[in-house]
Amino acid sequence: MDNAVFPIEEPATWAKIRDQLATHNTWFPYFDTTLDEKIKAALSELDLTPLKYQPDNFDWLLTESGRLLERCLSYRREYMNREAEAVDSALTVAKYTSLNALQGEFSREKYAHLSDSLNLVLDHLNASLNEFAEGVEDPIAAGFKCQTDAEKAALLTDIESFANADANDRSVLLSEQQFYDALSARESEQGSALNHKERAERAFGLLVSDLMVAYEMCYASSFYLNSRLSIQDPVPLKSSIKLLDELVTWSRMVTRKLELALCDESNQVLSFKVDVPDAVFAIPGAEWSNLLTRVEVIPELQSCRIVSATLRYVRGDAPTGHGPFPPTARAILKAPPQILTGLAPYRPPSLYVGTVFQYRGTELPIFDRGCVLCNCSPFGDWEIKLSNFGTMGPLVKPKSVILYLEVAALVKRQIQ
Amino acid sequence: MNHFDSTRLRIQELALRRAWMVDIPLSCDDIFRNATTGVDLTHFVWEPRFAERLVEEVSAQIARCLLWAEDFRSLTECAIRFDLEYERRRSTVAAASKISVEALNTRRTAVQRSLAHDLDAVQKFADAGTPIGKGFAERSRASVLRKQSILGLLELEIGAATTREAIERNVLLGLESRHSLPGGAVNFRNRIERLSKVMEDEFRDIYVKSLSISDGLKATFGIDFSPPQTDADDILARFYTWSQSVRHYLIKIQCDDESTVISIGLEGTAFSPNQSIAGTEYGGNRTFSVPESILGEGQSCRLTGFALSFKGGGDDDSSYFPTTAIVTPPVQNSPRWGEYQPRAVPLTVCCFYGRELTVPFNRALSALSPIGTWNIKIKRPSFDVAVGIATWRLPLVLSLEVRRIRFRV
Repeated sequence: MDNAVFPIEEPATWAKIRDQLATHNTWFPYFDTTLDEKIKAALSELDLTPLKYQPDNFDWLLTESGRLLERCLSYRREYMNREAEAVDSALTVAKYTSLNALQGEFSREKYAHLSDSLNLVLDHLNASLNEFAEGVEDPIAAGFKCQTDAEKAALLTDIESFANADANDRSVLLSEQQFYDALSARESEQGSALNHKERAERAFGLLVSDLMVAYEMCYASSFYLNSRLSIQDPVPLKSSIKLLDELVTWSRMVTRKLELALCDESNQVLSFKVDVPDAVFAIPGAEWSNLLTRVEVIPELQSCRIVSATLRYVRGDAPTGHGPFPPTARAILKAPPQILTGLAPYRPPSLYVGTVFQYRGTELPIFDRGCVLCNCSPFGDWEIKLSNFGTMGPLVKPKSVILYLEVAALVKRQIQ
Repeated sequence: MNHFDSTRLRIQELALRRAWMVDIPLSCDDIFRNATTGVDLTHFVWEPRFAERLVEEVSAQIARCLLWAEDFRSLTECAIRFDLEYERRRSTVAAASKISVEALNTRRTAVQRSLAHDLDAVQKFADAGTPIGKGFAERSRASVLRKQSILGLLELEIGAATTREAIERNVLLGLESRHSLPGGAVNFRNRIERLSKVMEDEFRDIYVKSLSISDGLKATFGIDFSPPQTDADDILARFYTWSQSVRHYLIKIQCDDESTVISIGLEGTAFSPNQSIAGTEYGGNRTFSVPESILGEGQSCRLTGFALSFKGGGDDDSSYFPTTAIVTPPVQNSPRWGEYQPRAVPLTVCCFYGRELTVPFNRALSALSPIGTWNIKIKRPSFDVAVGIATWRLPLVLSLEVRRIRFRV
């Protein structure tokens, strides 16, 4: 049994069979480890510092990670089906190869045995013919000689037909083996639908890529959920063997808690003023001037987040807002740093670039600026850069005018 | 018998024979029932007033679950087929081997018996000493050789049959051992359990949301859209049909919706002129009612915007800083949970000059019924820059943006 795959020794365990399969299928060792172990190994290389996503964008992060996790479940199903098909196919091919080898060996031995033994029989028939020939005068002996001749002829036919059957059997076994060899070859052929390893690898690559991103998103958002919305559930460890399932469960649980948390939020406008010194207007040709201000934590608003913001001038002497102002056309507003549990303070990299609106005492305009400042804490050091040049060029601030900037942030606070 | 019942029966039958099939969920219906039995409904996560949003979420969740249910069925079918195939092959291999070896043994015994006679014949013909006797002795020797050859062949066949059975048995044992491999692809039990857990979580959400949707629709639109009973068959398909009906209903009635702003002037001032303005305490407690008469015959409404503002008169007003009010919405009524008081929410009070209102609005007030008694407390500003006493004499205006439905169905 040169081509035999399966060990005859018992008991047959999966480890033994797997080793046997691996020696006959180069791709088989890919399925030695389970998908869970593969995921665990792949995610062990995931470096979570620095954070890849801003925790402030927790709502977007959770929505996006939910989509990714859903895709991961589909990829897992695809991978598992490929693995099951691969194992099934390898076993089938191996079984038939072994049975073919067995059948081949059996045929060889059978025909060799038949050939030897029938030739011996032939020898004895020849001897019998000789003995009957000696008594040829006796009609009975002559009759038996004729009968033995007939028997010898039949035996010779048998010997010939067994030789033909041997050739036929070999041919059938060969064509069967060729079929399974072709099937096996297809399993290693690049781009083949039967190349289970390649298809599984592809699904695994997509799964890991999506899962890594989803994990980074969940991990980042958990800092925000923890520090701002008091949702304390930690993200499952990336070394967990059932990470995908645990992450799906975590994300759904957090979504439910978030629903409650968001229902307990309310809008509020937080305004703070920034004095604009005369010097700002005394630098002809200056491009940008820095203004700094610090907004102290208001205890009752401690747990709040910005949902939109606007900058505007407030004039102390001319409520109507008419006159040469605004002297600036644009401003850059840099949000204060975030202090998050377990993380060093970090400064959001995005800048808010917006027009400074002239305040004429109208109702407070709140412009939603999307995710740039969204969900940041309003407390801390703000940095504002003012452009000295409007479309009309540098302007001079009249001495009689008290001018300051007002930053109005629409915040959402947690209801206590 | 529907698909679920037949699947259940097959699994139950298999579970009797195969230990690994015991205790796995039998159908999607069972998973649904497991998920929804004993759910704590006393504290609701999904408030009924969000019915319009929730039904969209539920539709997406059900669509996702329908795919998972297909996956569940495929896995169950794979498990059943695998198990049946395993049983078939095991019994076939054993039976075939037994039949084959037994037949070969019987034949071997017969040939051995015949061989003994041939050996006797050889001896007796040889003893005759005549040419005929010698001839027959040789023929009998040939017969002996032939039978010995047959016996050799039978030995070979018995060996091959035994080896064949061993190979088949090894394949089956190998496959069976993979059933218990943690995380293995053919560990169907493990895969089904994992999938069921995810589905259970989603089903629970769908169920609880559907109750909230049903309550919300009853309270807001007066329409009865009870979700399907959880003990019904083919429950997921029923929920899908139900959610689609609700969506179609909402699309239809939203065409009949009309938006309107109800402004209510609150007489008096927030603070008396004699009060200090330096403090930060809340004052000016106001209670007012929005009567049901704002609705026409058969109408219903829900809050879609809210603003509280001081009504000013000229341009000399740059010193009016926004301040905060604590607003307590009216008591709401949920068919399932009865009356409940929504939380009081802080809101910014803007200066309003008859221009278009910018309404900061959020989930805390979204879709509440405005009908009933409201309570408002005004907070004094924490800074005192150029705030005149007169500011606080300005009348408060409560503006409610509501969407009204023309007809209560």
